[in-house]
Amino acid sequence: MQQKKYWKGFEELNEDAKFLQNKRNEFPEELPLLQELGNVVNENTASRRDFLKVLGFSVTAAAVAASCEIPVKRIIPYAVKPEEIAPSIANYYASTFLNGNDYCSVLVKTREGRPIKIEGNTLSAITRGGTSARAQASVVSLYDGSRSITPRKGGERTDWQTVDTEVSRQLAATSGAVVLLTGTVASPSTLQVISDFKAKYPNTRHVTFDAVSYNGITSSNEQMFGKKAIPSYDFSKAQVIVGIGADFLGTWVSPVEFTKQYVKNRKVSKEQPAMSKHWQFESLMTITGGKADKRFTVSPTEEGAVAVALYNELGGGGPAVNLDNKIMGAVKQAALELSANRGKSLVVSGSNDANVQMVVNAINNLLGNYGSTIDLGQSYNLYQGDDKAMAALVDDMNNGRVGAIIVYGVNPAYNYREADKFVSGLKKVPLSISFSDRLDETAQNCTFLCPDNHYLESWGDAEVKSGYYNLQQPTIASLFDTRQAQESLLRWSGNQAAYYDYIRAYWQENIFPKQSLLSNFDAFWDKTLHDGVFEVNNPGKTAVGAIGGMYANSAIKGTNAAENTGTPGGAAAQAQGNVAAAAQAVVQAASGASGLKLVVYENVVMGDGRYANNPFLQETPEPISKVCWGNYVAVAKSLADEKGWKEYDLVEVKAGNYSVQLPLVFQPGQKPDTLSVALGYGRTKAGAEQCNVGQNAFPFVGFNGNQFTYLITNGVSIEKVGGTVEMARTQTHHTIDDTGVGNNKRPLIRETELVTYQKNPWSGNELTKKLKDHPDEYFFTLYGKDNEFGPHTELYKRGHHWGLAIDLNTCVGCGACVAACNIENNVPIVGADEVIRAHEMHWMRIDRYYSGDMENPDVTFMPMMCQHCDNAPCENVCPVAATNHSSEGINQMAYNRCIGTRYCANNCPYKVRRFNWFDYQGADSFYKGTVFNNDEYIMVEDLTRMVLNPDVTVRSRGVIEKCSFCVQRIQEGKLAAKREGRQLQETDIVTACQQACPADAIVFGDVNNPETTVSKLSANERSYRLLEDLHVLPGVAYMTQIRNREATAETKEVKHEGHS
Amino acid sequence: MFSIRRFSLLFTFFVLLACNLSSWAQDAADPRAGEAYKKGQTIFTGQCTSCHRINQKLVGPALAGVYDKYDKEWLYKWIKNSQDLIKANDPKAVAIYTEYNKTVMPAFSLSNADIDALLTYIKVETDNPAAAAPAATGAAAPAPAGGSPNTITLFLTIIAAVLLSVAFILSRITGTLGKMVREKMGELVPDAIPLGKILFSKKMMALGSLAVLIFLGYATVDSATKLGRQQGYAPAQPIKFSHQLHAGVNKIDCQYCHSGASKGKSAVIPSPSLCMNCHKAVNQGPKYGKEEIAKIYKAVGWDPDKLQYIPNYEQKPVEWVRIHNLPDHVYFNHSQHVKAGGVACQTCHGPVEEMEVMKQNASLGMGWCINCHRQTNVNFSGNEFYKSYEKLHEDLKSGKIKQVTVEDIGGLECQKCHY
Repeated sequence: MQQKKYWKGFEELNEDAKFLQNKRNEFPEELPLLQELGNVVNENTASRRDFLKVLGFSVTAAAVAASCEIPVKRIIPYAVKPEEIAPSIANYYASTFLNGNDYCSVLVKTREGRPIKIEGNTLSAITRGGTSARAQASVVSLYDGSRSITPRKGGERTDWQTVDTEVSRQLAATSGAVVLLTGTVASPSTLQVISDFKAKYPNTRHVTFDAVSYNGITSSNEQMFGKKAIPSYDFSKAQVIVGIGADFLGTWVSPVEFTKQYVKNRKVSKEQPAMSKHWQFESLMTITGGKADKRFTVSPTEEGAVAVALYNELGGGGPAVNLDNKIMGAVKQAALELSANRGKSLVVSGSNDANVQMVVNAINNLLGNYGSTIDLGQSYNLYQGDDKAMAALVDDMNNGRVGAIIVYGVNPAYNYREADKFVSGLKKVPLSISFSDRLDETAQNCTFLCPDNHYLESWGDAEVKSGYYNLQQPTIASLFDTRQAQESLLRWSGNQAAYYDYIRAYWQENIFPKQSLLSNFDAFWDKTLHDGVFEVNNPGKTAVGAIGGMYANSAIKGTNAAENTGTPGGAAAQAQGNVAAAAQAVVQAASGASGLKLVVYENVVMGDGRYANNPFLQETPEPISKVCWGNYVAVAKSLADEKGWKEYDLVEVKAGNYSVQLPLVFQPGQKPDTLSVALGYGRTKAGAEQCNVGQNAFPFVGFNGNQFTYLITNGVSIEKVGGTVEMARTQTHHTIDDTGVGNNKRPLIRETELVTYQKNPWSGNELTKKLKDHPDEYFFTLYGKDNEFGPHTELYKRGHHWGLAIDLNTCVGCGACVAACNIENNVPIVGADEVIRAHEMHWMRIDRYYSGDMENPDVTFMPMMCQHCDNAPCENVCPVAATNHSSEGINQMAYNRCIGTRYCANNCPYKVRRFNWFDYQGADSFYKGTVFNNDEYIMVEDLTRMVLNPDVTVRSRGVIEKCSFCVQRIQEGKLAAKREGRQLQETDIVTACQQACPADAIVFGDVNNPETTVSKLSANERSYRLLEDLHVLPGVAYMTQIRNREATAETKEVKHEGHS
Repeated sequence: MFSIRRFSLLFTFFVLLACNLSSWAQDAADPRAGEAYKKGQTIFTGQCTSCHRINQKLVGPALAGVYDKYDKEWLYKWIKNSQDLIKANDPKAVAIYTEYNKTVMPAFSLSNADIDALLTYIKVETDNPAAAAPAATGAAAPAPAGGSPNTITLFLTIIAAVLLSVAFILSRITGTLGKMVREKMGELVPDAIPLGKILFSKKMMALGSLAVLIFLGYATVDSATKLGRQQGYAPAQPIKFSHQLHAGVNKIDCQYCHSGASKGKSAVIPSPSLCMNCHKAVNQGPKYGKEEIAKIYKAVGWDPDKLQYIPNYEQKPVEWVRIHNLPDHVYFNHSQHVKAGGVACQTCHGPVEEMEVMKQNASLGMGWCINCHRQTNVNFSGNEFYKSYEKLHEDLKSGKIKQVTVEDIGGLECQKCHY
């Protein structure tokens, strides 16, 4: 039988000899450290005498160290203990992570007054406890040593008094316009601060700039509905979803929220044997495309055409579209399914072209989705950036028409498309002030730097969606001499109030009256502060009627467009006319383009570059390409083969008069005529030198007179410049060896189609069924054929037994769990060079597998961590019993007992054990000043070490570490139950990865208790254990991936034959 | 030769005798020696010091001379229940009550004999003021009479050494005498091998080296294991805080100050602001007077004269010397033991209520932890949490096992403490 082949990288697909060797071995190389040390010690000259010298020295040193007196340690309680702080007990404060347009309602975990972890806030109706990697890592940026510790004038340190005096004087004296250039401001009280400022300086202009613009959607809505905003979408109500170049699970609009909604219809079980159908048409490979049931690769210029074709199929009556037959067939099929699910479907597009978005709006209108899956009444207050106004501002600055500029929350000198022009304009502005937290590209060119607080040091509020209010509260006093931007604006407006008082007063006046539950403002404030959110019931319902009514009433009855234009009245007719014009423009644009196209895009981890100095994010691999620490030019392999390029070849991509030199990465699923480069890299003043990685792609961004465009079709060229640059790319590191007996592949990934599943819940998972029914037929195991644990059976069955169930069908691969795990467990960051050596320390990785068609593969994400095998192969080989099994099923690791033989890692079939090659976190006091350069490791600084979790040991050089199932949380949960004298509840213990997951794909719990979710999940027909034929009895259960599409011959066959 | 031996024996005898005599000697004229005084002292330090001093006004009046000022019967009534007297409009009682801002003196359940003892104590203290209030420098308390453990060990060692030398000498004598006798009887007796020769023979050298090696090896391993352990560590603290007084005499609950012990990992060293709950009133200690308590005031900024906090005072925390130091890779949680396990503080910390200076009682080594986990029973049926251990409950019921120790539920596993 021909098995479906799964592969992570081309080296695996092509069975490259080096790759195969690495796959067999745990470590890709033999002791690279020796080589490095060799350079220092120069091992060739080491003689017996040297040996004796070293021996003598070490003995003496040990003797001296041992005979030293134990240092006197102090224990210093507070002089006056704050009531809410109890040493060793964590406090959680509800707050809001809102950085640019990234939003998460969060709980901030603080220990002894230090924020150390971000958790999702389940009370928020938007993010519902989900988080993103960016939110998880945001706590690290609080302790960023590159932050400016004082205000600065002309780059030199100064004090706030001087700043306030001079700025106020100059603002009052300025004759030109005062410009407040901000990112999107979703905070109602900040908007009030700005309007106060405007009242004081009436010549103030507020310009909003988003580096990654969503003007296409907002202006299409403005043209069609008179509301310049992004409506709220509800993917949980959509049975059929069509995404056209929209990475709504990764980056588009509100990915955490959408992931939560999306997975609701993707959790398949016997009780709910149905799931939504997801079509994706895209030119790049995104995680959203990876999760799609049907994915089609189209050229980026054709994405608009697909929308028009869909519009036509649904009876929109747009111009004829010229598309590939295969795509056309898919569009037709999608249209059929969409029309069968009117009001229960959703079509979204990632294009920033207003014309495309108008067509998409028209489609959703035809489908009656307004009012059900789309709600214009509850629109986002995010993405308010105005591309046109920004362009105009830069012109004004260059023309000397701006007297003063205050830059808040944006960094246009880096991420504006014409950054040079912005900088030259900035130099012509007499008074320029930046609120950046560091001397970034923009602040470098400003007169004053008035560093803003980190969000964990600030008060704030946000109305992310209309009616959804959030409060943000400081969880630590300002670490440095910084001041909240709002407070600076208040000072300059002549208001001496603290922002806290201001925001309270604002809420009392404006938001408190929106509710009737509490009559006392203090109670309302305290409750909101506690919850972090305040959500007005049914906000904007009337608005839906008013705006939606105008157009949504024009329900299309027939297929003739002309028939419809008559019915809804004048305004709708005009809108309809606009759509027709838009569709025409879209089709024209699609037909006009030939040759190479360049797409610049925001990737899932790095955003618009504002996180560049966050090493935790830099080292979180991009979910699809698995590249970290830098960007690259992604191309289809077929294009590269045609041109004779190899992976990691350095190429120069040129468009217009800008070019970048970056290494090539082959991306399966990418349209061959498309090159793509991620935005957010190539910072020059982000902070630490090691974080200024990659090349800046923002200068490629175009401007069509209305919106920034992220697709470049004219004059794109690519040329090999010679040489290669190896990327820090984790995709084939730690590849699980799936070679079974007789070269049969063991199926790591198991998947099926919905139709097959409905007939047979065991489909795709026949092997497990077989093993369950006939336990004697284990064909390859060292551990006996007994299905029990042997001598330990009784031990493991008493009390608790921890297990994890991971749903491959809902995991979207976003990487939030990886970031959360790193921060929870003090996992060190190793830097790009070490990642290239496959020395990344992540306890948790997400293996991304491709399968099927190389040009348009299926993608499966498999979160991978220690499997906590009950017959663990690692435990048997440890010479010092540093790793052993607990009666609760945890594969324990005693770091202080480990002597670093790495036998365990060598024997782990899942390759989840990590060896500390260096003392990355400075745990070892002898570390500083040794042969290794401290600066290389970002975690060594005392400031950065403040983020460490005090409940988890900081590992030193030379020991193995790995996932512990968050044992500190297990112990904490158990203890809480014990203290209260009650049985353990499921909610008592939530692992960091589970907590962070926006897709609820990870469930942890006690498998000995049949009532828990995890035991139900791990016992169901979809669950299987990885490499279960080894009989190592892993504690992690994976659930099959199910795609909602027609059954293939392959799965039909597998169903009968099972594993061969 | 014999005379010398006899002399040494006699000498030893006299030395021992002298030592014993000196330890029996005591000053019979000390007014503080009486039973009544000691009883009174206990009552006074335990129940009166919160509000009264001998020679100083505090919340209540100074007590010097109180036995002359009022008649005994009145004092009995007053101390037993002052409010009764006030309600009965006793003029003396009302006068005191009003003088001291109508602060209620609580009723004390003391017998007349107790009150007599108390008055004896107050009289002795009044008549001998110099000793009652130690010098302001806080000189060390006089060494307690009798043999401390150290001197006893010293005596025993000396005795052992003397006896050993006697035994050695005697054996030499009998050896020599025997030899002389046998020689006299005409036997051919070989010369005794000199001690030196025996000691420096090859066999002895080898044996000795082996012994030294074993000893050194043991010492190395032993001291390496003990590295960083500091059992008995009793450093001087910045404030001479006496657990004996607070926990022993005043019987303040441990968790009144160490409030974290039942809630979390850290038992919590109280902040001086907590001390002020009592020390707003108690500004003088029985041993060091005002000096040590003044350090609390200095930390929090309390003005003991005006009885109020000093405004805008820059508070300084007290830097205690940490006694119990666990390595960073050990996770120990107080609440697990105190609240969930119901372990008394003294089990690990020793008789804290008897410690004038706090010291580390246990070794805090892993073996010590493990031993306790092996021996300690879990409150298995009392705590709902353990309900999920069904198998063990069955075994308990059927009598298959008699108890469930911490070990039985995984208390010896690495990741219970190391993670």
